[in-house]
Amino acid sequence: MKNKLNPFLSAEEVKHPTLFWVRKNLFSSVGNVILTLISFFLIYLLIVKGALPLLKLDWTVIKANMKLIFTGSYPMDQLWRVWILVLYIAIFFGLTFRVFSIKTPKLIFIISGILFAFCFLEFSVFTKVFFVLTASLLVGSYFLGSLVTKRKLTQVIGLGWVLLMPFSFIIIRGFGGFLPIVKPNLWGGLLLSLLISLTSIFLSLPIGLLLALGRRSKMKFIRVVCTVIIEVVRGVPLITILFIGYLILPMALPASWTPSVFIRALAGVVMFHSAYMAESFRGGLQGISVTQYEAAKSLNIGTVKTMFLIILPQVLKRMIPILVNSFTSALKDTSLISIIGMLDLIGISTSIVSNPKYLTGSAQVLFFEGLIYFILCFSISKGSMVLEKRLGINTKVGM
Amino acid sequence: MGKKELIKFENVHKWYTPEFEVLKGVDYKFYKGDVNVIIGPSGSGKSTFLRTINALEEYQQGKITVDGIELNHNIKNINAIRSKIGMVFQQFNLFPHLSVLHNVTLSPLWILKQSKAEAEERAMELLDRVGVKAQAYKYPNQLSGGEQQRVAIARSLAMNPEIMLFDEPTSALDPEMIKEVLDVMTELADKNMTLIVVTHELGFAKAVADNVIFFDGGKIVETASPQEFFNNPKNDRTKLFLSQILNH
Amino acid sequence: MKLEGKSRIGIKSIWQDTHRRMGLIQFIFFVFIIYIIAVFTTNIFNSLAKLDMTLSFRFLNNPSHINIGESLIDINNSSSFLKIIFAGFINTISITVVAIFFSTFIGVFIALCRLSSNWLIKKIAIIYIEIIRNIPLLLLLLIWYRAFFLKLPGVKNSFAMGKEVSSDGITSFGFSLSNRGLSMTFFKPTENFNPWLICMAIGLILAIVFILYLKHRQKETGKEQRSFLYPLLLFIVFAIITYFILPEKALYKDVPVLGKYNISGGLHITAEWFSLFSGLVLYTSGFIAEIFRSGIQGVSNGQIEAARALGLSHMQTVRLVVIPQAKVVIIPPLTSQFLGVAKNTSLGVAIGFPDMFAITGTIMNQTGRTLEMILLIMSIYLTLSLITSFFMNQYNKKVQLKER
Repeated sequence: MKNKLNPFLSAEEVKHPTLFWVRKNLFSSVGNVILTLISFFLIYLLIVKGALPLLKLDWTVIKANMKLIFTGSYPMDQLWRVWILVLYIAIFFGLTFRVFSIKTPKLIFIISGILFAFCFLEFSVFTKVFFVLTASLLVGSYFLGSLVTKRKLTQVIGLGWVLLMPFSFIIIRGFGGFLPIVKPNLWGGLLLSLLISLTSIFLSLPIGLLLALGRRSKMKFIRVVCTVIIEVVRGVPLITILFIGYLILPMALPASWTPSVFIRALAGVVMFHSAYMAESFRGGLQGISVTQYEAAKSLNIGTVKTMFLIILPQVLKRMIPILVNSFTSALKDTSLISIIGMLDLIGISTSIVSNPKYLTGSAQVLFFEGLIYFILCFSISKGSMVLEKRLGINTKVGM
Repeated sequence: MGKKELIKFENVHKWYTPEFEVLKGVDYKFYKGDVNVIIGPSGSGKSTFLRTINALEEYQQGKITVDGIELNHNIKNINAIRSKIGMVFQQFNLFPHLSVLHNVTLSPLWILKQSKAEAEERAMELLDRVGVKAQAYKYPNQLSGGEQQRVAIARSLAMNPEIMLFDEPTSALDPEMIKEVLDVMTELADKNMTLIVVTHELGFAKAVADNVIFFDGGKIVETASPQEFFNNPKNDRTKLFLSQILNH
Repeated sequence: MKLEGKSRIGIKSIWQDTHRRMGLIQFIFFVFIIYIIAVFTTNIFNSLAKLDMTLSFRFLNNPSHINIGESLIDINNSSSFLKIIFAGFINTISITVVAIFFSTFIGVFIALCRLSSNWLIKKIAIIYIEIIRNIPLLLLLLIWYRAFFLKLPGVKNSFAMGKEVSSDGITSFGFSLSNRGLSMTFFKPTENFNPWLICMAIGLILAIVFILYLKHRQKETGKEQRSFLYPLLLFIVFAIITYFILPEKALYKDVPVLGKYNISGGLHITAEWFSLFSGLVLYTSGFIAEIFRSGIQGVSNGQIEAARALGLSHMQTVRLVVIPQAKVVIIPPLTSQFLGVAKNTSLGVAIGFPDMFAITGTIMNQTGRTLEMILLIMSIYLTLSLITSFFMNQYNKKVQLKER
């Protein structure tokens, strides 16, 4: 029987593969040994001087302001509506996992596990009930999704994600008669950040697409106007665009239309992201070879139909990872609305700390928010990598 | 035979994981001045076999000796062996940021420590020999595939190798450019250069080869002179393979 | 729509004629844009009129009565608006340049760690990059400012190194960290600075001569010379040697001294400047690391194999084959990162650093001249972008791989 393992290994190393790995990756040469020692020292420093003092801080400021951090000044008795939104997302999240035929949805079980674990911490009964509900829906929808055909399921989740934005607005804001209206100036914290980022992505998609198409247009005037818009918006910092929305927009609109701060901030963010989305579309459109257009022409399909039936499906499929990344940058960029006074996740930290009771809590709040951002953005970008693999998209050009 | 033994493979095995073995016990001797053509189905390991010779692939078991030097982990051995071997790749791998001339003179300048005049003179000679002298000051991406491959050959020749390895040199070329590259290789063979070529070009094998090696399933299945090989294959697998590729 | 006779140019025929159709669409679009612009402009002017203002930039020459906190140029309370905007501009540019320098340095270092064969170093680099890329820059700035600097003790009890109390009760520091910022001993020019300056100028000329010589040598031998690194080293060594040779010292040690309320002397970096600086550097370095890493890894394996097969050593392969090719892919995204740094300095407004944008905000508050200031600040940023794009395009053309 041949020895299938590397014969250059001594017998001892064959017995201890972990030790061999350690030796190869950490101690294989003098240089490597030095590097390993430096890393150990760095890790020690980080933990002892960095992490431990952090944990010793007083974290009551977080516990006391959980609701503020997550939903701002949203009325307590209407919080169930926010939870409905969470449940909605959980359902479609589970169904999406099913559609992509992910066999062992580790992520779903991890999230559910964490939610169950939260029930052991200090939360109100109300919150705990919803934790359990979310976890169950997450897992349940994954398993129940197998009852429906894949085709129908894809249609359902497509619809579900597209309707997410209007649904969230309806349920969070409310509409006359059925749900009491909660004005946007009460929305805050993570809820506000997510709503604005989500809306920004949804709206910047069509606007960005129109701008990109305009930039490629053979009609000179349209091309010039679109290029100017894109380059001007991309050439200035986001905060400038926000200030324009905040200060100039009210002046530019007829007096009766005075938009709320929320609309002004939203307009700025949407404008900004549309310009960047236009650039992404430009890259995506450039990637479609001319032969596609020629084939369509030879089949006598009109320009508009070509765009919608042939070109766009290909571009959008290729751009899914970019779109997902846009969501994380939107989430991060949206933090700037705190500068014009909105109480998003970052803005709320200022107002929490201005409460004399929690004056010293700024570090804790900021680190907690950093954790929230990190968990959200990191999971989304990891998810987009999985998505890329599933859809067979190569981000590296050519082979 | 009276010919000098240049490369010796002794029971060479290579595996990536215990389940995935690529070279399953290869024994062979390459002699000086011979033209060796290796054919076989894709995935058979023939390219890996070729690339172990100049240490672009490692092997786990057995022994490879090149001109008396054992090929192992010793970097000195590897460098000594590589200085005797030139390699031409399927994807040409010319350096796109250097002119054609500089592609050929780069190694002689830095390794052989030739002067600029020496190196350029020799380079122009070689470029002329392969027929691309007129393109000497252009850049690789401005040349056609066939021209690029010929430059690649000139680049390897500039190091005065004793052995030239060719890894499917014409597989990435448009049909009308295959002949020009094969012509250069034939000229090398006529000048008694030791060649080891992995290719699908059976015409070349029939016309120029001294030995044809059929590689399949990680082993050398059969080897013979071209006449014997193509007219009188002994092994069944060889016969099967030949029937598949000769009759399309 | 039915047409009568071919002589009438009906709407249908315009629609079918592709050229005329494009013309019609452009015309409609043109009218639409003009209409929107007209409505907006009239509304804006109406709003301004209601506030008794017209669009005018003349106010820029008036004294501002604003104190901006820190500035590299000499300004005071009664400097004109234009001058303090300029001070802001200098602040922005100076912090941008220093931040770019440091973040590139750190970014390249992290990229090398990321490519290291030592597993621990690699993982640490990966974790660093992932953390930086997944939190907003604003949060990073606020953490540095509020969770670090503002938590530091006051000037009297600052965290200090090299603290000395002289005989007449004057406390001086080598290095002091407080909630105002950091102060450290710094070298400042003496009256005898000029001779050394002249020597450095000579050194610069020598370095340039060296560059020319190396380029000449490259032509002669055909081998690539290190025509940037060696002259740089020459300049530095020359400057150091001449400093010590000169009879009168050109620099003196300016030590920070604790005064009644604050520290004077030495180099003083405000908390705001340092928070913005460190936030920018940390944030940008993560992205730069990824740019360098993917540029280096993007050079195809075949190139490296061909170089090694030719006998080039590892260092030679990296220097002659990998780096020139990686350069091409790295420069464009690197340039947009640099531009991003300049634009991100505008976040200084959140922590009180008087960069160009923050000052614009203050002026807008004071004078109510929002429209003029916004137009002004946008033009400045756009000019910066355009200049950078222009130079980037030029450099790009130079290093582009020549295609057929």
